[in-house]
Amino acid sequence: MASLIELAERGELTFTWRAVGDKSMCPDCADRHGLNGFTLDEWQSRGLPGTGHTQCQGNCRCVMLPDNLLTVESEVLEPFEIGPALEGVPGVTDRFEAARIAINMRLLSDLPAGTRVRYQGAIPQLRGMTGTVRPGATVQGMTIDFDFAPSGFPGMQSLFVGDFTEVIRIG
Amino acid sequence: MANNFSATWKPHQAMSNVKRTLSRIQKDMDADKIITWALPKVKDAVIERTTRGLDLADREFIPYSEGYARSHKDGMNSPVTLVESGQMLGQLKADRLGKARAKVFVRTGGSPNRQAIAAAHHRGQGVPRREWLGMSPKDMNGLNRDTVLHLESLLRLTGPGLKTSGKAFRGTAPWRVRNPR
Repeated sequence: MASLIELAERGELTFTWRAVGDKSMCPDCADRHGLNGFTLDEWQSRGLPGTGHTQCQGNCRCVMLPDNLLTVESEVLEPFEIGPALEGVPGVTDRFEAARIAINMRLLSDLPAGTRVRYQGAIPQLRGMTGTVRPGATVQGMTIDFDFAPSGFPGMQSLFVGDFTEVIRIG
Repeated sequence: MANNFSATWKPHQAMSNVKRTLSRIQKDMDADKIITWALPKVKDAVIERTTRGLDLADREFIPYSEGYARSHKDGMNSPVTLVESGQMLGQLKADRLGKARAKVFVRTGGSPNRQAIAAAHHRGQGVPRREWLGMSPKDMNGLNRDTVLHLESLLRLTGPGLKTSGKAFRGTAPWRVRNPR
């Protein structure tokens, strides 16, 4: 990451003028206080603190602070896909998850007992683990329960219920 | 003729003052002080705007359909706040991506998965599109303003380099000119 000084020199940082705010502050500084959104070059042409552009001249105690320091991104989940291995499998449907909030998510239901599946869900420790759909397993909403093969995940040999983003039928 | 003009102009010192300030901020960024402080602010900003019924462009969300509002409990007609059980916004999280970068997202969890519901609202998958997940320009403006105030307090605490007190401005936080960019 470039240093703040480099960013400022490249004109990627903007600055706000901050005055002291005490009784000896000059009127020019009071007027400039809070002015923001200008690059260092732009501030240089307007006059930085202490360069004689304010009544306090070289005695200026104001500072310039960067005002676009932070960036915030958003992460939105990609739409779900059913793995190709499940296409055409009985019980794999395209139903809306709930009628009243018609979200286009995929719902798996009635996978035959004994179906071997691989978990590709949101729980990182379990991704890629394989399991077998147990007899009478239910698949509701975003959860599926199945028994993991002991070799797949020794610590969790019994029923597992978890969110999935994709379930691949492997056998 | 005598020159009564006694003040000293310090153009070079002015620039080095700016750089010294930036160096000190950089140290606080390296110590994660700034991003750690900002994360809850980011989350609060998203929740606050959304529960006021405003999208990322600060426009009101598209209203619920009459049928939807009728089939739900009282208060589900207007304004649209994307709050029914509160679980979706309850799973909202802000995390650091770098020294000055954060991301906001909805954690996976719940049945149906709130992360999926959040995405469906945001993208308009099966429901009217209501873009909410992220920071609006107004949210960012508020965050930037708060960050400047926070920097002031950090810098004042960490050494004698700055003389500002800013006390007279506390609470008013002047922010009079919109970012021209």
